Amino acid sequence: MARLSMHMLDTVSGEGAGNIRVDFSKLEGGSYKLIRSITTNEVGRTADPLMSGDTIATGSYQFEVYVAEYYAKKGIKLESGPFFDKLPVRFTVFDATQNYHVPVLFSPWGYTTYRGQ
Amino acid sequence: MSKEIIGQDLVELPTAADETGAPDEQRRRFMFRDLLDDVRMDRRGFLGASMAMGAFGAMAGFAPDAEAQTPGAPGQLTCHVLDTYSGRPGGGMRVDLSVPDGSGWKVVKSTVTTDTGRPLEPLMSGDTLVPGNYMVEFFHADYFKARAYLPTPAFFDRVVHFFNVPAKTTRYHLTLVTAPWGYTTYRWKE
Repeated sequence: MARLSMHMLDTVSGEGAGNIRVDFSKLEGGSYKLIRSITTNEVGRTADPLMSGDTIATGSYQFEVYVAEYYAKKGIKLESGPFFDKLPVRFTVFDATQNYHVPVLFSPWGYTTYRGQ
Repeated sequence: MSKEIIGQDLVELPTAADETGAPDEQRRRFMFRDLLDDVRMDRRGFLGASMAMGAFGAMAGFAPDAEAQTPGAPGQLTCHVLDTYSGRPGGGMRVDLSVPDGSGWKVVKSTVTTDTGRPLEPLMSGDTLVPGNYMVEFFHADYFKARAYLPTPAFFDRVVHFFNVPAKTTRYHLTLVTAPWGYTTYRWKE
């Protein structure tokens, strides 16, 4: 069954990023409309896929990852303040019959993402 | 392998026992050297190198800001694209710089990377660098459409950064290490 899932990973602590806010939005009429505001579980995932089966639809989506808030909550002091406030990870579901897994490995200064299945 | 790659000096890796590697090995070393160059390993030593290596998969550690400042140097915003699909700098990628405009954004500079993976000029420097909020867009899909198989529409279209430039003397460098189905992007502070 087709599905969309994600995994947030904190490369400073080397762990799944638990309890980070991620706003999941869809591009409609030129702007991103919020579908769901997520708080990850302790391993940095969501319990259920974000879309699956009949609910998965083609289109352009965004994970807005609240990186600055996350490090502030963890009490990590950054000398120069965070570079990123929120990370905009944007991707397109081009075929609603496929699986999409989107890991985001981040630090205060950068991130890695890729399409997995 | 193109001339400019052959023309680069290959860096000696701590683990590289011999310098007479096959072309593929040389190309890998070239990519590695390019990243090292990106973070000025010669000036920053091991921490810089570990940051660059971390950029391939996962990043770790914090930039040593006290060392990373260049006293008296004018501020600048630069960028660099490295193509890990082709194993060479990402020449020919469009990069746009925008500023807030009402509720949206206005492009103030649109440029294209050269064969070195960098635009000819910084996105902003000296007098043209104004503190404030900015958006930088790397035109990832347009670049790879001509070089690799991408679905229509592509999975990743543009790679976008939103950030703040706090001062006239800020020196930020944005790197995109990229392939059709995944990328790493990070800021370096000079």
